[in-house]
Amino acid sequence: MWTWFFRLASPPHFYALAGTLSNWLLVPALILVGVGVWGGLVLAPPDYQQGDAFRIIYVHVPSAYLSMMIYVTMALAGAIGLIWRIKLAHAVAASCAPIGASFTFAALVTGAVWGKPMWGTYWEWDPRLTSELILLFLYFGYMGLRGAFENLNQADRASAILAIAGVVNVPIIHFSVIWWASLHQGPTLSKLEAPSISWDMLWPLLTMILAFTLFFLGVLAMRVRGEVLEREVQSRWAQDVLRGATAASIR
Amino acid sequence: MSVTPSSPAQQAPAATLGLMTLFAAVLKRDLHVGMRRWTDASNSALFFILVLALFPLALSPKAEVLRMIAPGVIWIAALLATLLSLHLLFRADLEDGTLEQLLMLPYPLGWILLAKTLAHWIITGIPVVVMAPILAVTYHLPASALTVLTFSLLLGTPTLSLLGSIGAALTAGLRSASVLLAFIVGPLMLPVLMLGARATDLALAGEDPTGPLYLLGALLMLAVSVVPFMAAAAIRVSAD
Amino acid sequence: MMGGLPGENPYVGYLLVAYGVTGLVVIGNIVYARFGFRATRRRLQQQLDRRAGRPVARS
Repeated sequence: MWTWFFRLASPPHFYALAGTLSNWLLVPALILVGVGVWGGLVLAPPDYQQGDAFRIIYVHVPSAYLSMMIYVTMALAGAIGLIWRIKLAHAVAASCAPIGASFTFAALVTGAVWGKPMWGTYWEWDPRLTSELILLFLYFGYMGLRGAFENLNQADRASAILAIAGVVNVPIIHFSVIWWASLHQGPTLSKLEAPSISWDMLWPLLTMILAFTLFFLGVLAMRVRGEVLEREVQSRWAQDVLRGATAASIR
Repeated sequence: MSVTPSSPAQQAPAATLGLMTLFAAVLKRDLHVGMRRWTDASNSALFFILVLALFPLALSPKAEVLRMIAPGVIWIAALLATLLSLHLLFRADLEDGTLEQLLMLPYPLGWILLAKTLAHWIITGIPVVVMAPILAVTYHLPASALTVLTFSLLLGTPTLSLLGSIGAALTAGLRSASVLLAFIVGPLMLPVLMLGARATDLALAGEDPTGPLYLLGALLMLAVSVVPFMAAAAIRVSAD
Repeated sequence: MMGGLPGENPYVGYLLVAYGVTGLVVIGNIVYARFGFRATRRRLQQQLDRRAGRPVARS
């Protein structure tokens, strides 16, 4: 069983696998997105308090969830690369960062746009928005640190350390921000309590979350493929691939 | 430092020093080096004063306004002063090759870095802790809030130095590292900032500040136990 | 069902922006990954060809 794992960690095998893997992930993901959006925009009944504005939840929550899940993945991949020195892990971590940053941005924008009808203002320094903004800074710091090193090995290890430091800190930031804001009770945060949300409204959300997860994995596979090729361009297998692809028609 | 490899041909020297003696030796040396370049160290202290002078000028010198913003502003100034001084932590040693020597020693690198960070905090952090109450008086902060402010800074600034040491270690070899350093380390420092300002705020409002203060202490304990390992790993990356 | 026609619904603007931005991020990620991969592969091929002295395939 472990041989499968180690084979996956070998760049040429991953490269071969990742192409088909990404298609198998992306197509269902996009279908599910369509289903979720249809369910969220059309099928779900309007919220009696917020009207149709609450429908933003169907893009906001999946984006926010993805932004945090990707950061944890990035930190985990960095840790694996650091401890077991698996090069592929570093490639995965590097590929995660731009995806995570873009979804953090999406979460911030959709959150702001939801805030206007809900609280009357585009931005509030409330715990969730602020923590999300800090997460964006963490991503930029990570990408900035990566870019600052010329030596790829150094860049990998340094950014892995930074990601680990950040991931330990994210829950702390989140708690301290919540705690800080709760005493400055500003606009009331309207929360959707899990048990009280109706199934009509819930299923599109779950669908979207699943869809986004599959989407992330599919896009990640694609990106890591390119990353691995670039990193291993000196190697035999990569040169074979590149030479073979020149001869055959590019898919 | 009393133990340095005297010739390249020598094998890894035996660990003859006790850990406490080593700590004291590193601490003493770094304090010496820091004091010699005291102009660098005083930069952060002067910056602290400057920032605190800017707010009354730009915002309003009215007592009510100053008193209200004092906890946050003083804490922000302390954080910025720390950020500014972080590059000093490893620069000298990187320049003259001492850093590589430290890596080759048969002693735990994290322990050595802890001593270095302590020296750094003594030189750059303690002046901030000492000056803060004096400047807080100019912000019309009452005595009760003053003591809490000072105590929160006393607990918080070492944590800031420790967290900063990770960033300083990661960017030690890089050329234009200062902005990147602030960006990397800033988010990590946020909880300390918020807790410290919160504690002072509570004291100002006449409420009980012990909650945040305990948390600050907890963060300091966490930092002291965890950061040395991370900083050591980071230094190893940078020294390559 | 959505309240009223899109013309009368006061929230249409917000929903458009929210779904639009998210859609852009989703599409952007796919595009960047797919085309980025192809561009990387092409670039590396040209690099190899150039080094081997072979005729460089024009993109």
